[in-house]
Amino acid sequence: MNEHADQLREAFESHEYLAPDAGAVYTRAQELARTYRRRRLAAQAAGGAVLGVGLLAGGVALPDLLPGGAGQAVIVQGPASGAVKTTPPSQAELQRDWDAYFAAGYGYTDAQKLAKIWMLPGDVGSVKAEAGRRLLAGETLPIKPSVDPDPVVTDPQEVTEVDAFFKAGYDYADAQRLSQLWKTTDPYDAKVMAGQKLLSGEPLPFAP
Amino acid sequence: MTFEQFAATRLTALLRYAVVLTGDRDLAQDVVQEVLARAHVKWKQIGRSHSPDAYVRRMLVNEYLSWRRSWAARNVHTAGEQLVDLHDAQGGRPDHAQDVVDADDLWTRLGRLGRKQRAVLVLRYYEEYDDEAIALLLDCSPATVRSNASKALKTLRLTSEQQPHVHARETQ
Repeated sequence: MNEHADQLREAFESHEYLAPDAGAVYTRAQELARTYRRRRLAAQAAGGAVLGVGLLAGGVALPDLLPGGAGQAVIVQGPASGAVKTTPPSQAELQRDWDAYFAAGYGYTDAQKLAKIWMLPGDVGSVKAEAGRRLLAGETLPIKPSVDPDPVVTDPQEVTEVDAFFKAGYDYADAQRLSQLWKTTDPYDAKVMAGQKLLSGEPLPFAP
Repeated sequence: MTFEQFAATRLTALLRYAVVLTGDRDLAQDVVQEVLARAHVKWKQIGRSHSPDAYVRRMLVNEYLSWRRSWAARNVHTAGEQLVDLHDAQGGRPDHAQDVVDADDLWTRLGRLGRKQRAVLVLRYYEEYDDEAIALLLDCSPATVRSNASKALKTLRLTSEQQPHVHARETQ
């Protein structure tokens, strides 16, 4: 291998230490996966499908990666003032609780804070559901909603359009295919264009 | 292989790959989170593939190349984050110091490359893919790969390529 190859490899490998924490990434990825799965299920439900799969099926613990090393409980238990649930919430209950949580202005960072306050490590999605349940019961949460520091897409309209693309069941491979068909700069532009068409009721060239 | 098994055994390496690919810790985290979430949702399909690891890495590259979020403002080194700072803080050996400085300088210059050019260099020199495999992954021709690599090396003020890249192993 020539000299510049060695230099580049050295530059790359010597900065691997910048890699983010695996536990935090895994937790957040599970959270996102639940959101995507929920959208798909919602889309199926709109088509008359029977929802037989609980979202919490996706919440399998990964003890070696999660902070503290403890497996995560599926059921939220133990907050001082809340009644302990003994059965898994239904899909409808979860959706209702999450909607209440987000409608009140809370976000992912707030759920992390609540998890610490309530000493509920692990599944942040369950914390959100518990918080939403309490809000619906008329209780006040121990923190006020904060601005979520997660990066945001610059144009909210684009978010809606891209969401519409994925909600319809399409994925990245479809975006690549559309990008080639429409000769867009990249697959992202194809997602946006496809979302615009879907939202305006126009069909796409192929099914998801 | 289940998704959980995949994450338990591959996530750390995937994150290292992502930070090398993106050059930015926060962007690496965002991109891996997004890819991992999508992979989780469609794991039945990915888990049946010949190499789930290669599949997810391909998703990662594609996600990085199409990422539009406002990360550029974060793409700066903060004090203490540079390798040379870390090395100095740990009392690095003098005979190794210049290598550290050089690697850190090159890392900084890599941050000025376009995403596709950077991806080509990472795939070629970090992943050790050959140009045909890179072309397949990036959906372009091998000539485009070589062109991107040549421009990137020129921008980095490294020696121009003398001959096509032939050392790499198979992609998958």
